[in-house]
Amino acid sequence: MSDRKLDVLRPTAGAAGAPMLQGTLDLMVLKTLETMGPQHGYGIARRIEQISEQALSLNQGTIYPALLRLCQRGWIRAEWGTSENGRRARFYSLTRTGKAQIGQETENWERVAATMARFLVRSE
Amino acid sequence: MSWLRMAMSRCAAMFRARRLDRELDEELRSHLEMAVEENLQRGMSDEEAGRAALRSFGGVTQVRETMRMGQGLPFLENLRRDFGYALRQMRKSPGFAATVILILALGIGASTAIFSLVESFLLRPLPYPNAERLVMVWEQLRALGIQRFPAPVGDFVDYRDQNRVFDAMAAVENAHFVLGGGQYPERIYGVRVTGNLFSMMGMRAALGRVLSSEESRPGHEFVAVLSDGIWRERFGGDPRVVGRNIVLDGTSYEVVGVLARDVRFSLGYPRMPEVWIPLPLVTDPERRTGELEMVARLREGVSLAAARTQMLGLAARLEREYHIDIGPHGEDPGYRVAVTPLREELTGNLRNPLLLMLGATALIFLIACANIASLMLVHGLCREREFAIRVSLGAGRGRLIRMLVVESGVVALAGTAAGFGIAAAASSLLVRLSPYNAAVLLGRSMDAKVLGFAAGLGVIAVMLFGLAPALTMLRSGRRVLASGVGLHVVKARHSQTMRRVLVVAETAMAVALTIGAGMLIHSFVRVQEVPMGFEPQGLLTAEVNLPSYSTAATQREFYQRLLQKIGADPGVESAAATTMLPAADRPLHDPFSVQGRAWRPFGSERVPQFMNHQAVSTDYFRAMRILLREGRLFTADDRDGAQQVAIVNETMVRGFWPGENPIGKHLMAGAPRPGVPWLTVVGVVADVRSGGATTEALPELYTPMAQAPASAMALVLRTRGTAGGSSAAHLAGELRAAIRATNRDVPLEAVATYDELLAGQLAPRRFEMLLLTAFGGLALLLAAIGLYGVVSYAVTQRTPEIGLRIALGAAKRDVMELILREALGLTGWGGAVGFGMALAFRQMVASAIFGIPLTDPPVYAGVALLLIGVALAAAGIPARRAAAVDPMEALRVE
Repeated sequence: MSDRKLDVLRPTAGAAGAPMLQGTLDLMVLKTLETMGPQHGYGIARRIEQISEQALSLNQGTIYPALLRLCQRGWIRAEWGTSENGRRARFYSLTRTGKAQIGQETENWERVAATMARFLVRSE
Repeated sequence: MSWLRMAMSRCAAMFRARRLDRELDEELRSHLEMAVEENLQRGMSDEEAGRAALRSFGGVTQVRETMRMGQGLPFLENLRRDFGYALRQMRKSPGFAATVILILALGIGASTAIFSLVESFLLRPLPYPNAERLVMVWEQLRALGIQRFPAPVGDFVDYRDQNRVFDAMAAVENAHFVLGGGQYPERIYGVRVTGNLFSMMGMRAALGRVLSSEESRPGHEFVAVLSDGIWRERFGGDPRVVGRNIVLDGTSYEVVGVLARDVRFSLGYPRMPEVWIPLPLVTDPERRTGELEMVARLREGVSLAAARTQMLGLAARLEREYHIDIGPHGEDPGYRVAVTPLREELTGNLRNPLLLMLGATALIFLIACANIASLMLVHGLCREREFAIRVSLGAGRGRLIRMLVVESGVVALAGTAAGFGIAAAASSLLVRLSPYNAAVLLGRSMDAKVLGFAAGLGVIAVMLFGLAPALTMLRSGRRVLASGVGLHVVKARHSQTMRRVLVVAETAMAVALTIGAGMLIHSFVRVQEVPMGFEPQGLLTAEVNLPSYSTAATQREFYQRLLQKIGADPGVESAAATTMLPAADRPLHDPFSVQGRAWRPFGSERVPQFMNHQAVSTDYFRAMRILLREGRLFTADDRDGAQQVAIVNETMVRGFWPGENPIGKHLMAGAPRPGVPWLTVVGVVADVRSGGATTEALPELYTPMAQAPASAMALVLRTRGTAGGSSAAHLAGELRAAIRATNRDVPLEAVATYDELLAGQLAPRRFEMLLLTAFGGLALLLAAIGLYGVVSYAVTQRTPEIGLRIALGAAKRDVMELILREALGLTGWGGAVGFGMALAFRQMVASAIFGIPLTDPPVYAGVALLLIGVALAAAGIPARRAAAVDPMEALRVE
């Protein structure tokens, strides 16, 4: 397999975990913010770890580039605030476009997952 | 639109980089602190909690780098870094940088300066509203070869009232007036115009008003508008001048206005009018009065072709009604009317010389780029280690190219800026020095288009000399890594080949350019060698203008007394007066009739039946040293009331009395008409080039001033001995005194030696020749520098080899020959290609050359010799260095 083809599966998780598809992490962040409301980076990272039950073994640091990307797209916004135990932290929350985007992204993801599932069943 | 939002947020981030960095650090710190806190709560020790937090976070530095890249614009980040690096590089080798910048500045400066001329004269819209719809209308007599002559008043009125293609049509008549009332009488250039000219050309009055169309009705024309210039000079900028009267040719005119300072007006004259008065539109039945130049504005949507068709139709009707200028026996003179765009009228003749010049500077620019590319290659060789290290540290191909291009870009930026400075200085100088009449219309001389042109050249330069060497360097760059010294030679050889190609190209272009310059120089020499038919050296000329109200008798008397007085001066050998100075004033093109011969457009040997006509004083031929061929010259007996006599030139005899004795023949100007006597030929003189050196002689008629006096005449004084500056100045003073003694209301002007007048005629040719010669010289110099660089580097490369040869007994001569042969080989190739180019593009100079064939052997031979000389000079220095190599030292280095 050539180098170029590998690019499609650009790993965003750490070397230890399974490689993640581009956009997976973004959707996770969006979904987290939708259910939990405004949250700081650490909170989001912990939540994703808990939900995925360590299956992904995410490097917490990698969510920051994802957060930046989402900010730049205008799907989430960041504000400085105070955490539950009185620490200064940046809180991220969904914007209106972000909320609208979740439906779209979810649909996309489900289509990919369904296709993948069909593919795996047929190939067996 | 999300990409747009992204781009904007990234751009914004560029300017807040420091704050964002600080925020990012704070955010990451708070993240880690929260993680540590949670770990502590789970019961880990301090140390363990910290380590676990870091582990689950991943690489902090990595994340921070990614974020930084993601936040700003990494491309611009790198660019900024490369830019700083490039500046450091320049500081490190200032000599190299200065050379490159100087060469580029010369290339861009020359091109941009010439482009600004092209822009000024050819591209810039004329300073009039709807300028693209303005046209000039000329009458023509095609059968006589007369393509444009001014119209009589009656024709103008008919054309104006009957056409449906123009929404405005104005007329301008050039005139000179003696402006009285001041300390000295002064002759000024003015125009008679129809009132609508001002609105058509967008000319406003700064004071008072402009002329109205009403004032063209006879009896209302005694009003005048002044130019800003004369208002300031003669009237001290006094606003109360409006309403006062001025005296023009003895007639009083009321000043009604002063034009705005920015008014520019010329229909092809080198000066702007000083005074504007109404043109009385009086139609005479003969249609002879008036010499009107007609300007018109096409109706919106009417094409030039449509206008031409309709005007030709009108012309045909006019000819049927008025029998315009039909020959004495009813011949068709080919009366037509021409409609030409005003722009073409004013600057059409500049297209060829200016484009030639632009082509020349394009070559200079290319040569400069080739030269710099060559320098860059050498410079790159010195930096091979740096590149090897960069490659080995993982610098990508694109990244390296970008770095090199940025370096070239910085140099190009500096060169472009300097070049623009040169162009700015040179172009205003060029416009001022340019002998083109249209310069009157030019206000500013530089603008955004010119700036854009210079910038465009800068960009092209980067691509030409930046990218090519970068690619060559990279190709070898990857291999260099593994190499020690061995590959160095391979690579050096490779880039040396490329430099040789560049030198050949430079030489070729320089040779082509020099040949072009040589053609112009040789033409110029030829033009000056043309025998004019008279001796201009030692002649002093001046113009005298009697007020036009003076009678024939007073005119005659004035000039005879004046000539007597000045002729008595010991510094004057002979003094004469004439209505026209050959080769300096524009000759006439008047049809004439020969007794006993039908009017036909041409006589024998295709000599046209139209002539130049001069009224001259008795001593004219002696003063001018025009040779008498047959018969006699004028004498004092050819006076008013005596037989009307004429002297003709040899061309007239050849065309109309071939093989006959011309003495005693009869002819007259125009068609034979009752009451006008035939003139009797009493003498034949040698041909004079009345239209200038490049124009064939016309048939010519001389009549004695005593029988046909004129108010305005030129004086020609044949001076004794040295006609240097002091005696000319002295004579001018004497002349002024003589005139004042004769009539103190007469101005004397335009005192000049005849040589100065002729130089003025040749000014455009001289201007083009000097510019092209300068470019040719610059091109050769650049090519020589290129050759020197290549040979010099080759000598350095081959020092061990040369040392070996000398050690084995080669003489200094042999070594020099070895080096020179290589240099001459390159030059030979360049010369051959250059000659080919010159031959291929020789048509480009066709319009500029005179008296030599399109492929002029002396020029080609001269350039070949010059080229060999330049090559020997350029290669001689390194060749001598090679011959002086100390074999011991050279071999020790190896």
